[in-house]
Amino acid sequence: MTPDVKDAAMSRDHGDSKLGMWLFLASVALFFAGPFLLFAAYGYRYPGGFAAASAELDVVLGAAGAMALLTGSLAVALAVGAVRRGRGARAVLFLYAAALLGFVFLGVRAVEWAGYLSRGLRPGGPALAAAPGGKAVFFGLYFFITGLHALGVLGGSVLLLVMAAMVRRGAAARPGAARLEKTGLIWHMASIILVYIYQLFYITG
Amino acid sequence: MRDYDLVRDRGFFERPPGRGWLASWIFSTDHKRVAILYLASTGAFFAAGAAAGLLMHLELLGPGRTVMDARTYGQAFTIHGVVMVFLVIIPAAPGVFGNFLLPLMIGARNVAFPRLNLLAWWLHVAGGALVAFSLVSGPGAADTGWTFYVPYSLLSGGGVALPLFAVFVLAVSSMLTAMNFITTVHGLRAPWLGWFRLPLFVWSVYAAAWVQLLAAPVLGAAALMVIAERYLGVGLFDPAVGGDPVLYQHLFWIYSHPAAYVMILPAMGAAAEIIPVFARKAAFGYRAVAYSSIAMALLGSMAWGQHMFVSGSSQTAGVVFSLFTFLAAVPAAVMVFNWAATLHRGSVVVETPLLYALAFVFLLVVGGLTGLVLGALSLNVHLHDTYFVVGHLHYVALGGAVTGFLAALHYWFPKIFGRMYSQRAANAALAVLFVGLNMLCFPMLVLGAEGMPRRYYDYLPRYHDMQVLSTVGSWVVAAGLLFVFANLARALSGRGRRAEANPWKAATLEWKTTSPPPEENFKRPPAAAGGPYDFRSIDLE
Repeated sequence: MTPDVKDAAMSRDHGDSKLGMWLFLASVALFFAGPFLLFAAYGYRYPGGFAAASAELDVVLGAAGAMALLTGSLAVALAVGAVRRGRGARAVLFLYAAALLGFVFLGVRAVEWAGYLSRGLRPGGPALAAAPGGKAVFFGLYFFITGLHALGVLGGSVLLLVMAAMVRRGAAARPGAARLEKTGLIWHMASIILVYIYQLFYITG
Repeated sequence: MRDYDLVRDRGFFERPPGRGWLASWIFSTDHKRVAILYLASTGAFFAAGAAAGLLMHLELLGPGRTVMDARTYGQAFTIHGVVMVFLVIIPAAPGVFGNFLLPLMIGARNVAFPRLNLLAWWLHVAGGALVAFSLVSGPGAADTGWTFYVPYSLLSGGGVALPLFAVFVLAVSSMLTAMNFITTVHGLRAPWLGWFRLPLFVWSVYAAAWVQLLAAPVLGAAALMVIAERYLGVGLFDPAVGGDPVLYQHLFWIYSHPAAYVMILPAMGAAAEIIPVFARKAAFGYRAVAYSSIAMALLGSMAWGQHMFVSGSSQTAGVVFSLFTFLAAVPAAVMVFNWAATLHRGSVVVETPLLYALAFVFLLVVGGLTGLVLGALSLNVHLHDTYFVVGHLHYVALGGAVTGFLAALHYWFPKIFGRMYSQRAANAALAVLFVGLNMLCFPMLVLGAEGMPRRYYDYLPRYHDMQVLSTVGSWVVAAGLLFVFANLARALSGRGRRAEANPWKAATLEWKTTSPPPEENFKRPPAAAGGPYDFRSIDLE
């Protein structure tokens, strides 16, 4: 058998670029792990303060945002399936739906933030500074984590629109599905992180 | 006669058609060109960091003010640390030698993600630009130390956001490279090249890549958190709102301790390549060395609390972290012993790369042993934040990582540039450098044991003699480094003679192509060979 000299094109066919995407996602998970580690440490130290702070969060709005994002994940998965079966037009619709749901999520998040800020729960503000121990740190972590997460969702939504344009242009053959699948993984990662955010901040806190 | 002996062209240095000279370099996706780009950028940053270091030492020449005031001294050691750690030592060996050699050593044409590779270099340069800009913009350079500890980094008058954001950008850059390397090693190996036929350099770069990929994001998040706290009031570490500064230390060192192993593993990999070649003997204990690379990365990642023994953590935590510190030294020692066993009863050929590798091993051992001294809880109480730490870290960073980088440079120089340097000059330069390094660093160990604190601008008269010795040592180091680079520059200028494909008679795949290699690396796919240290078949060619 003649040995090959492998190059990047061959590695794509061999699924190595999927490995690359999983490695990237591992690094995203570790990125959020730092702040979540702080959540664990401070939550252990200030159980009362965290419970009081968590009670201030709007569970219903949080759930609405989570529903939007998770349904978006479903749409992305359906889009990948549609591309695989050659149903380009349907895939484009699913991608538009997912991106729209991403923007819905961002809208819900914005409404939530506006609510908390208007109630004086502003980091660095007097209300939090005077609050019992833990509440300021809770909201510091909340705004930091949800802010970065929202940036990620924004980028992801834009990426989905780009993917939709590519599928429409006819990059709907098999290699296109691989690329779409990898982009989808990013979206699913954002959903998973949101599940942790919702669970830790809104429910167990 | 092998066909790659006969080729006399400029290999990948030949400009690809249709591009201007500059564009052909800074927009290149050829891993070899990206490696040269990293050599240029890390070299420039190294010069800047070294200048800061020399200025610091000039200040330390006498007690009290010598050439700068206390605040400027704080800025100097901050810049020195930030540049040397994040812009030089962490990216240099993977960026230069990892990039250049990984595809060649596994018989591939390029890395798995060539465009991400170029992006990583651009982010490296951007990080450097951000740090440079922080020196001249608004509040001026940071003076918090390269560790940016809260609460001072939240309160300091110097500009902290720019260097911290640079740290974030550089973390992303190094994560991209790490992702690239891991995927390359997994996916682009020649079909006949199993894991245990890989050169040991590949193992060490691979292990370092995993650490970098998983730990750097934690630092990136910590840097963003400090920026958010300082400029947006997001209370995370501020004790006034219930925050804990020690938690910042945890996040910082969760990356920065494993980063030390990222810094040293590629250098150890280079030594693991050089020593068998010049002993003309297969690497002793190949699997032990390969597994030790992984073990060092793993155990080192669990030892971060060694920087925090006196920060108020519990004694239990101290014991656990001290234990992991000691355990992490075991695979390092395994590697050193295996190198010694490789040399033992080999037909040793004493040439420049071997001399640099041996200097590296000696200095690494001193650095490693002083690390164990610091890892012992009782001793750490006295030595923490003293010059003993500074001496230890410079033995491993300057004596280990930098000398190891120079060993790799002298070994792979003919392959990369197609030219040979003067070995006599290189050896003489090494002698100067070696003497200078010990003059610079050993007094630091003495000063620390005698109680002089680190990062202090002023000191008691009894520390004066050792400081003078150390400062003179810094000048000798500078002279040695200039000597090294002058010799290599001379070789590049055209005065060096052309190098053949395999001047050291090594057996790894990069030597089976021309010096320098062509853009596609191999004119013909490399055939299944003996192992990476099978010198008998090389000697028979």
